[in-house]
Amino acid sequence: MRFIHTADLHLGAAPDRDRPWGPARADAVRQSLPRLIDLCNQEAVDLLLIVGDLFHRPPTEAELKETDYLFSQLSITKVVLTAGNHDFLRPGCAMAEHAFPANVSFIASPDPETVHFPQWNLDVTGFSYYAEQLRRDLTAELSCPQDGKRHILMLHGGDKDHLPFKPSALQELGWDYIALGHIHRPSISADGRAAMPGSPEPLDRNETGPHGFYDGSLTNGAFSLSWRNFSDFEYTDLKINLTPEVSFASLEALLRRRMKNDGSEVYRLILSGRRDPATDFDGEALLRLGCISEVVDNSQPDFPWEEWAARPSHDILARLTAALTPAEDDPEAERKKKALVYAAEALLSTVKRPGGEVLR
Amino acid sequence: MKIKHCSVYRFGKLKDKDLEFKDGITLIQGPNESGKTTLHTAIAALLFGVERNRGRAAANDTYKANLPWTEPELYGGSIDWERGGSRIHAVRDLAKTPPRSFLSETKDGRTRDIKENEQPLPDSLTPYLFYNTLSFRQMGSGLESGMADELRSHIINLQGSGNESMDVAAALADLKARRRELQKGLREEAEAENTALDQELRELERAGFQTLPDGWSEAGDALRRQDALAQKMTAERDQLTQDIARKKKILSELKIQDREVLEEDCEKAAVLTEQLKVYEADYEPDMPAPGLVRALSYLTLPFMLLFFWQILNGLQYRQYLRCAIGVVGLFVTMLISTRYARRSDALDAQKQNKELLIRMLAVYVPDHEAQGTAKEAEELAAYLERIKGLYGEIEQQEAAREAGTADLVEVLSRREALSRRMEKELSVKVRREQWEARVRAALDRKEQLKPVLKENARLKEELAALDLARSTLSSLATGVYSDFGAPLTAEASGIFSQITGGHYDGVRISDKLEIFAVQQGRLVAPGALSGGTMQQLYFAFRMAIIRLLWPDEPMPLFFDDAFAYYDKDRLAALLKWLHENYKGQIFLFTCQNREGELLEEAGIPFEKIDL
Repeated sequence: MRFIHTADLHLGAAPDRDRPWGPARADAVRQSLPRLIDLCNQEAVDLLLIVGDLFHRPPTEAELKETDYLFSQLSITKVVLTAGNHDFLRPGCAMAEHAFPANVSFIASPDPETVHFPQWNLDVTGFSYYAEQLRRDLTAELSCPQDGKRHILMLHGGDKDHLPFKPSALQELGWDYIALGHIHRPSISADGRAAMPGSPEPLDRNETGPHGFYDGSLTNGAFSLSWRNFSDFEYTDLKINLTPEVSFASLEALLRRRMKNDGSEVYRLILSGRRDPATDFDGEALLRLGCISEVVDNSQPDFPWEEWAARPSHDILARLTAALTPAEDDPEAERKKKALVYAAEALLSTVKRPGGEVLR
Repeated sequence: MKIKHCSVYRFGKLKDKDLEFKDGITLIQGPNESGKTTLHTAIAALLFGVERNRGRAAANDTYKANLPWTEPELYGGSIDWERGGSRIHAVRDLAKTPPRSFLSETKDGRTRDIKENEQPLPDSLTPYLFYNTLSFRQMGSGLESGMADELRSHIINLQGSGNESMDVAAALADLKARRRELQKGLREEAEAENTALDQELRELERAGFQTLPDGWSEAGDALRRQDALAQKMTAERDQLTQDIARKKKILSELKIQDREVLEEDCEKAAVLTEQLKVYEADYEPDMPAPGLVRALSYLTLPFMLLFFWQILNGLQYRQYLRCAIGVVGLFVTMLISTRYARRSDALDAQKQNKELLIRMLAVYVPDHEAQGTAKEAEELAAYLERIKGLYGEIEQQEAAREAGTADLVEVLSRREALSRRMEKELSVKVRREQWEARVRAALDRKEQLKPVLKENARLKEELAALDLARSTLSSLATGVYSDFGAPLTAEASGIFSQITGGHYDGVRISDKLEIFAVQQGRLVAPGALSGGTMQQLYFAFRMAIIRLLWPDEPMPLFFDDAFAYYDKDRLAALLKWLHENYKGQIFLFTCQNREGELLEEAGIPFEKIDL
């Protein structure tokens, strides 16, 4: 028995909608379900597990009609679906009232319910969200039945507002496989019996790295699992350490060399190091380079901080440096660092160098 | 520190100037364009060396501005100064790139080179400090609003150890301008909108939508079934109505007044058919001529009479034949007579029947040219029978229609009830859809606002950092004053009072570094002072700063046409004060004879160098 474990498709989401690549991202998100379904048909997958958040918002009847059509295109694949925190159910809402195609088992119950697959001697247990948050720890109620069958648990959550659980506690529940959802970054437990596939497409610029699903099989009562890349797009952090020698033009040239401009990657540019205080690193201009989603400027102007700090205590720069150098556990450390840069820049912008203009 | 000797090889317009300096006042006199300011600059350049700026900044730098007019390879010179019993000799070769310096120290008859990391000049004497303390250039006419600000910022800067001159007030203004700029990017309305959206979502969530009753879709199915039924029934009813109307129309076109007449006619036609058929069958085909029948019967009469006579006379053998003939004759006669009588009746009836038939046909089938035959009668009878059937059909159909109408009314009322139920259910569904649409619109808008809010948060953090920078800088500036300002004010007050001949009591510096003159216990803002007094105030602060910076070492002072705006009395008072109160060298650069005359008048000794 071959199965695919996915979650968090977030149909209807439009990441980076205000950026040039936004429409392409929205398309990719929309296409993720038809692409998965094509893949299920091509590879004769027996079971497709969608562990919550198929939709970005509780779906309308029109949206369900779209997915109905797609599910109806599955030739042999059975689907087990639950609702997550994004497409959570309300009594009487469109999804709760909806009659899914016969090959889709939608577990609409807020309490664990089981779908039986006698042909594979397999039970799949899951439940749906009825609120945006689910803070209770269900793990105590979720022990695996001992009846000789194989058991899969579908579990959407994993952070403090959504079914908080400890990975170690999951292991003790005794399920043959725990199909997780909710966190958009893939991960797998050490023993391979619980896995979070992440979303098949990245949905936010913070969701760096590859995106895909878990491809599993149940052979002679034993599960095996492998990771499959699905998205051909990636958000990537591009870290550049500035030195005072770097000019804006050279930074631009470096970025042009480093960045793939074919739409397969979008970058978050993280600047660090020490920049020439006189050079204007225009973040807006960098954003216009084409595939940079955000410029995070952690760089510091290359002022001689150490020299200033070592000056006699009555020197204004020494005082300034002392007043705004944060202690190690200072909660305002970042603000102080910024304030120090602002104040130093402002002071130095008024400097009259010797040999230049002098007082009357 | 005393400057003993200065030798300028080439520096601007200056060429081979070799000057010895003594203690006290040195008057350096020469007309305009004679090189006084160049000499002043040359002394500073020889003291501190010259750095060449690069690029754009080089255009007006000291180095470039003073390139020799001739023999640039000799650009530079040497200077000698004394400090604490040792004499420093500094040679500056400015023609090289970068300019080179050779410094040596002679102490107790021994000479040694000064290494690069040694500092032969007094502590903290930087070019910046030189130009802003020891060197007095021509002062403005005073009253310039910037002067107090500059003074203020210099109070802070003068204790700095770096070469920088920084203007805290300008820095604070710069931070304020940056804050304004950042503030512009802040979209407060997005915050308000987001809060309103949160509120709306909470309210929507609280209100919820009414849950649909169970089986709402069954009501829909039932309604659809009832609809179909009602439609079918209505169609049937309409069909019946049409049929009935059609049939009634036929009847009315036939001018049938009422059903009873038709039924009578129908019976009549049937009777006529029968009678005409009988008549035609019995008589019509072999009807003999009536005259012959009568003749035949008369012919048999004698035999009949004979037969009767014989019967009266008794029958004999030979008479048997005549008798038989008589009997037959009688029989035939009777037969013919009977038949004739009957035929006569039949003919009469036939005649009447035909007339009746033709009348009837004229009514029912007016176009037909009637013959009065049995066939016609039969057809009429059948026709009338059919028409008579119409009445039955109409009757039946009307009954059916009535029953159908009753059923339809029942179906329609059932449909109505279902429809009401459905409508209610639908309105719940519509409400749900509207509710969902509002929730989604709010969530979508919130998602759109997300980057704006993120940017707002970033800007707010930047603004907070800017505010922290401003408040820190501002409090530091004040702090700097509180350390340095009090002795400075005390010193400056004394000098100011002395040089104004007691006209003013002194000066005050407020917490905000605002400078005031004090006259008879009242604070006078710089704006209210005359230009000359402002100059004196400025001079007093300068001298106070010099005294505070180098309390133990009299430093040389340079006045480069600094007293152009001073009147004679004020200048005399100032020179007198300097002579009596200042122990260091004083270099007076001037293009006028005024300073020399005043010094002579006051009996103050001085050296004079003509340029």
